[in-house]
Amino acid sequence: MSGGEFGTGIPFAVGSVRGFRGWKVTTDGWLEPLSQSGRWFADGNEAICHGSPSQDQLPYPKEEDRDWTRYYAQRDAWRARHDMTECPHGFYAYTTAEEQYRTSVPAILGVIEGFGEVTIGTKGFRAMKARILALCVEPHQAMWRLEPFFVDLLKAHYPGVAFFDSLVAMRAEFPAELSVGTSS
Amino acid sequence: MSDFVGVPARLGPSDDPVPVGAVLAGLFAELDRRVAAGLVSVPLFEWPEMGDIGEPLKHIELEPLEVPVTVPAPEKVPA
Repeated sequence: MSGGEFGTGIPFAVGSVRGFRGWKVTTDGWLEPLSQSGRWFADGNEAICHGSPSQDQLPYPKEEDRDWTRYYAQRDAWRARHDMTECPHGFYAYTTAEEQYRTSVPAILGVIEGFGEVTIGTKGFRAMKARILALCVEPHQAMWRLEPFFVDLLKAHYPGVAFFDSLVAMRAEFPAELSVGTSS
Repeated sequence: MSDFVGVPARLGPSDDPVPVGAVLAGLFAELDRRVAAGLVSVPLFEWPEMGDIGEPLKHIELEPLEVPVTVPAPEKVPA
């Protein structure tokens, strides 16, 4: 199979990648990105680009023009059509688990499965679509032990996700996986 | 050994105003001394290197393999 899906030119393959990442936890038991807005859900997540094209690609309106409405429309069109090689958007996950604990906000570590348009690197990947596979509620330097009722709340919001109270156990059952085959 | 760096009792309004800057400098110096002596553990809080997935290796479109749901065979009831 060549040409990618719908002739995008991106190679296509069956499979997914797996990696570690952290989230901050809201007081009502939902997971949110550490440095972006939004909420993660149990039944799948799709990334949205919040970036902007470079000045070479789409310059700002001139001072005398000030047609920002047209600029924003063109920017939104660029966000909808550009791929990951032009912009660092996507859900990020990494091959090492411990480094994700070094945060300055209380964070929960977990494992996600990434698919859709994916860029794989030597330390992890970023994917346009992702699903949470596992969460670890083990206390660490940036998060105290969660109360049992709060863990139950997380489990209610994220059914089907495997919960672990040990990073070692979670990593053993859900190791990072970046190798995927390519279709012929 | 307590690692709490206390605040001098003289801080506050008085006839002899306390140079707050000098007091704070002294407190930080004492904290640095205790950290250097290994008496105080300073947790490392830092943002992770956001976006550092390393050198790009592959740009690909992935479709996850759906795991088929298998229904277990019914148990045979002994006669």
